[in-house]
Amino acid sequence: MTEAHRQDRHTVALMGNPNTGKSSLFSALTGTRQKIANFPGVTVEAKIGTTRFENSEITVIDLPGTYSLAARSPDERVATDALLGRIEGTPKPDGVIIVLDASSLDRNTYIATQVLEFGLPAVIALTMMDVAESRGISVDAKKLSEALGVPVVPINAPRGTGIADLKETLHRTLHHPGKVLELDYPEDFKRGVDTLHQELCDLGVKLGFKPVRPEALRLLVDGAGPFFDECEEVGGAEFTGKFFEIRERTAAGHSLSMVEAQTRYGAIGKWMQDVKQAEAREGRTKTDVVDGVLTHKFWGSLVFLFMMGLIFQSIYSWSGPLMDVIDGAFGALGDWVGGMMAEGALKSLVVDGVIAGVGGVLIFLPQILILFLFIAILEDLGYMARAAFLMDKIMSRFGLSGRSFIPLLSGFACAIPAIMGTRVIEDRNTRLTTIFLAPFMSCSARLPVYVLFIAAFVPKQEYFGFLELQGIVLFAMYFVGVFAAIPTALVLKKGILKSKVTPFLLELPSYKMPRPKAVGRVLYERGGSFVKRAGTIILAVTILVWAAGYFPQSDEIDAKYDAQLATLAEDSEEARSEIENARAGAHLENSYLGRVGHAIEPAVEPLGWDWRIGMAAIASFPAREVIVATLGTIFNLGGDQDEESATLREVVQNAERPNGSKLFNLATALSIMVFFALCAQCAATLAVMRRETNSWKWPIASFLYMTTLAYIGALVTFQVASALGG
Amino acid sequence: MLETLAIAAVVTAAAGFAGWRAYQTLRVARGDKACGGCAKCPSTESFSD
Repeated sequence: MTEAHRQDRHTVALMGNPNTGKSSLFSALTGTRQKIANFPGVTVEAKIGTTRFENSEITVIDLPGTYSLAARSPDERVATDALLGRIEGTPKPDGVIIVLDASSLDRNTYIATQVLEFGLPAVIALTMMDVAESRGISVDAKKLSEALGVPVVPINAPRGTGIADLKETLHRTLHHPGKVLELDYPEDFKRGVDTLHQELCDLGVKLGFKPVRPEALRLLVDGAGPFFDECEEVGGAEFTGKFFEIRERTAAGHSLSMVEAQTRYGAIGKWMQDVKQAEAREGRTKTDVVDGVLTHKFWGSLVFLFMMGLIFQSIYSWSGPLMDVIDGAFGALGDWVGGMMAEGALKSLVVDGVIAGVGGVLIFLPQILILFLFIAILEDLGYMARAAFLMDKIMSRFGLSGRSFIPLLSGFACAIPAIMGTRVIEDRNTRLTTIFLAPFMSCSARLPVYVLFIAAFVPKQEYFGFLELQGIVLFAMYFVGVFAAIPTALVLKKGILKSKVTPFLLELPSYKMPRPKAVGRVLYERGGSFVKRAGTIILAVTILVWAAGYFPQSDEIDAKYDAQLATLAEDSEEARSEIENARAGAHLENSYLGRVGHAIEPAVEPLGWDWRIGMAAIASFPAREVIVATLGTIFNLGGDQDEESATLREVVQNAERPNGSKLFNLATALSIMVFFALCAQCAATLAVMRRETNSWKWPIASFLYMTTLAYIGALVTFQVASALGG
Repeated sequence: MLETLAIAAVVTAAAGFAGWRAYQTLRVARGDKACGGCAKCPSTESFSD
């Protein structure tokens, strides 16, 4: 092998509209694991992978899906900058793969005409051929190739067909110079682009790069954006004066965007007469009929509510047997380990701390998996885009658009990707509002808190033979955050973050059968993440809570209860057990945790909580699920767990106050759930909020606002529920 | 004695891990990448006001 062969390395950019199967192709080419969702705008960061063909190593940059190269939003700017090799640390692409959806070929070809004007060696990957066929559209790849002047390869990435052909074509194309696509723009327009290009070239030294002609075209048409700011910075008033003069002269009273669109779509229309053959079909397609229902104001909302109701009902109905298995396994593990170890601090650490704490959280794995099973299926099916469309109408009343719905929806899984997902929002104030609202969406970390208290205190009742009260309450808990977010959005959008509602253009993807592999991957990732949190941060906090609740051990307390035990008859097992529980309770009260807990107790008493619940809530600041683990540890240490109350649910049902009354009732349970629905107990979310807003003021404001709201919400809930006899 | 040492080790490890996570969280808040960041992957625009 020669040196030249070994060094045959290339970089290609992967571009196309959102939801064209670009991410699937990236995975098929590079084998890189990533989420594939049937949902527009899911890729907000460029991803990189490598693929090989013979002796060549090809680096593939998966750019965010975009409808145009007009750089108005962060997504579109990333795409253009990467194509021009202007992202630090990322090589300039030697070529480009443009992914086109055959079922929406006209619209998809629009961006292809923009990219091909850069003159990079290019290959078209034609996806969704089967979808096009099912709609009676046949696409002639050869004729499309002749029209665009670049090779066209039909592919099906999920099935792996056409990938080898694409690699071979790409490899061949990269060894030849690219061809600039020439479109038939009006003469005045062409002259304007050339004049502006000359002006830009004069700025080249100051800019630090030589601007290319398509950039001049973009700048002329867009009239603003990041590239204009750059030129203005280096060229000053002299440049801007010339720029606006050229623009005005070229436009001559017309819209330059319209001229560009008419030219591109004019060319596309002519090409498509040969490329595309559509069967004449009368009436509406099945998709149109289904969309008519799912995006209907009334029927669509009804279906949406039904879907959500079904999910929450299933979380209770299906998870029982699996929970019992995990619960039984941890119970057996605790008994086995407890039996093997001698009485003492180490046994308490393992049994009361680690097993009771972490085990108490892990039993909620089935609920997490069921929730994400539904979300993954609905996402892959194409339903979520319909839900976003539906929500756009509702959200516009609160000053938000469907563009905010997409990140907020992912907030039901976790607020962190939700906050990062706001990068697709162009308007600064709308983006800040959405970032502020994201933690209000009930993330999966809140689910164990809801499930524990609903199972323990909400009676099992059935309505109409299929609606369970527990499922309805869980459904309602998910809406507590939403209801709190609505007035918050109104106040922000009408006040400090005022802005106009921008139109929301959303592509409704075609319905697809959910792919078991994609659904399985979501379950694996979400389930894995939950187990990982249980085994890392939750375990660490649980051990610290255990230590704070176990130490210091007082000899005086032991002496007091030893004396009581000495007076008992040998066969009075019940009294002996009561004394041991009292001893454990006294040790917990005397511990560091107990002392701090008693100090904060007056603040949480109006919520119906005692110091143990208050400390568990404070300890859950690193992650919300910690409260479940902490309660497990505290009640185990305090002797509230006996042989009959093996599960945490039974422990909280039986936990008592020092005066012998029950610690928890329905009012207390609702108060805790409302607090957790509204609080900002997640350090990672606040950190990401700081990063994305580049300021501490937003996470601090979020924490203070949500904590205050959570406290007031919990207080009102407890007082009202108590008054109603809860 | 051995029991005391074992507990001290476990609690110290848990405190160390929690501290390290807190440090990582603050690092991410300052704008660093959670993965450690080697500048090999392209960074996206972070919003700044």
